[in-house]
Amino acid sequence: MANFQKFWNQPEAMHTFIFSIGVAIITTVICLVLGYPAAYILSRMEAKTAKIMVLLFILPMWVNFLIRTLATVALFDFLRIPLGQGSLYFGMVYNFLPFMVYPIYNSLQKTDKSLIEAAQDLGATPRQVFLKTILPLSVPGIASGIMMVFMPVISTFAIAELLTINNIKLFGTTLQENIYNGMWNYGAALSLIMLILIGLTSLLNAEGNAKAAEEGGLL
Amino acid sequence: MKKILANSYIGSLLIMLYAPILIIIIFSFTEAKVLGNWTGFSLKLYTNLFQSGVHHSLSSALWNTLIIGLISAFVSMLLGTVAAIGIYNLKPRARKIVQFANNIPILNPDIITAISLFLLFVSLGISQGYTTVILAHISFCTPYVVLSVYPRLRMMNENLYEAALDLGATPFYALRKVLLPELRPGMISGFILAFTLSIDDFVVTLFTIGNEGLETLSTYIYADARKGGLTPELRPLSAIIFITVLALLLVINHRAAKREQENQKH
Repeated sequence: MANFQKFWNQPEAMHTFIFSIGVAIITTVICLVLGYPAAYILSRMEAKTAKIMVLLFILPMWVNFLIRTLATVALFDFLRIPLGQGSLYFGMVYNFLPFMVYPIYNSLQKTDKSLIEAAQDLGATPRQVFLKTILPLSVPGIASGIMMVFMPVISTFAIAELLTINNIKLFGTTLQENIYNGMWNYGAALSLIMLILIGLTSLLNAEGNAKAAEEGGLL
Repeated sequence: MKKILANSYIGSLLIMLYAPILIIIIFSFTEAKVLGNWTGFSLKLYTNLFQSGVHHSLSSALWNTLIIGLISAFVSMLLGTVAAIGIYNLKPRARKIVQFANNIPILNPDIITAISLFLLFVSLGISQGYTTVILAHISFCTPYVVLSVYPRLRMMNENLYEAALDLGATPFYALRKVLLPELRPGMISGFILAFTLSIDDFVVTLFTIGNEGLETLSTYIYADARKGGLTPELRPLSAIIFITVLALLLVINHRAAKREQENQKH
């Protein structure tokens, strides 16, 4: 238990923990705001073009993410933008946007088109059709997208390290440093704290998740 | 008007996603040590990559990555298929529990998987190296194989297997001649998934690789980046990997589209 007490008493670890949650929430929101319209547009496209477009969104993930992150660093250098919080968020969104677009696209694609037509026939304005029909039907995709962005962002360490030249520390870095410096018990305690947080988020999402998994939204 | 707006939105997102990759590809055609300096067109990095001996550590890291990926993908394909068959034959209640347990490692962040495996190996006193990396990769790939094989089992007509038994096939013969051909597509996609997960993995590898000088591609890149610079030869290597995957995916997509068209005709 001493290790858990250490966590409460050490303001530094606590700060990184809260800061990481903040970064994860902001990244998730940006990904959702950017990704939802993209998924929506993709789902409206002709099936053939949409398939290729979705492929294009997923393809960058096949290049090792460390190389991509380093290339982002080079891009910022090239444009003479200093590395810091801005580049951190760019890198995070850049790395995790496909994880948001894909599940939302999947659930939008599977919605029954006749429901949308029915709403239109019954005299709903385009705005109403979107808010009352399309959006609620895509909630499982949104839930699964949020999970797939939020959880990895909280635990990454290499991206933050490279994109801010180690100026901004996330919780993943704290974990790794502790394990590397031989403080295994403390590191394990910190991992358990993170695991609890992840468990709580997945419980909140449990329903949407089960649905998404059934529909293959997770993969 | 709306359409133009929509298309340019998608376009600009794609530009954002591809700008860093384009930079890597462009700068793979120059010799400069630092990414971002242009010192004239040159194919030297490409020839360096294919000349053995110039970058021994890089090529051995690449080999390690491929070997670890192939072994762990193969083993997890076998384990995952057996597990999926087992799960399929469980009673509904037990099946739900096991499926839930199967989803936990998938939802678990990789750093926690990595730390738990690290602590497990340390507490068992296993020295870390090739074996531990392969064991770790098998353990995080298997659940994905289960997920890709299980739907095939549900789609299958379960009477087929029983019919084979009734016709006098031994269980093993029925498994080989009836069950496996039905499951093959799921097994192949599971293998591919496991292989890509394994070669792309960084965090789990970093924690289980030990300190005896074993490197995979991702730990090599990480060590490189921490030293302050990227080995220039990584640029052509990533460019080649990217183009290969792009070509492969386009071919697969094209063939799938063709097959669909043919199916529609019939």
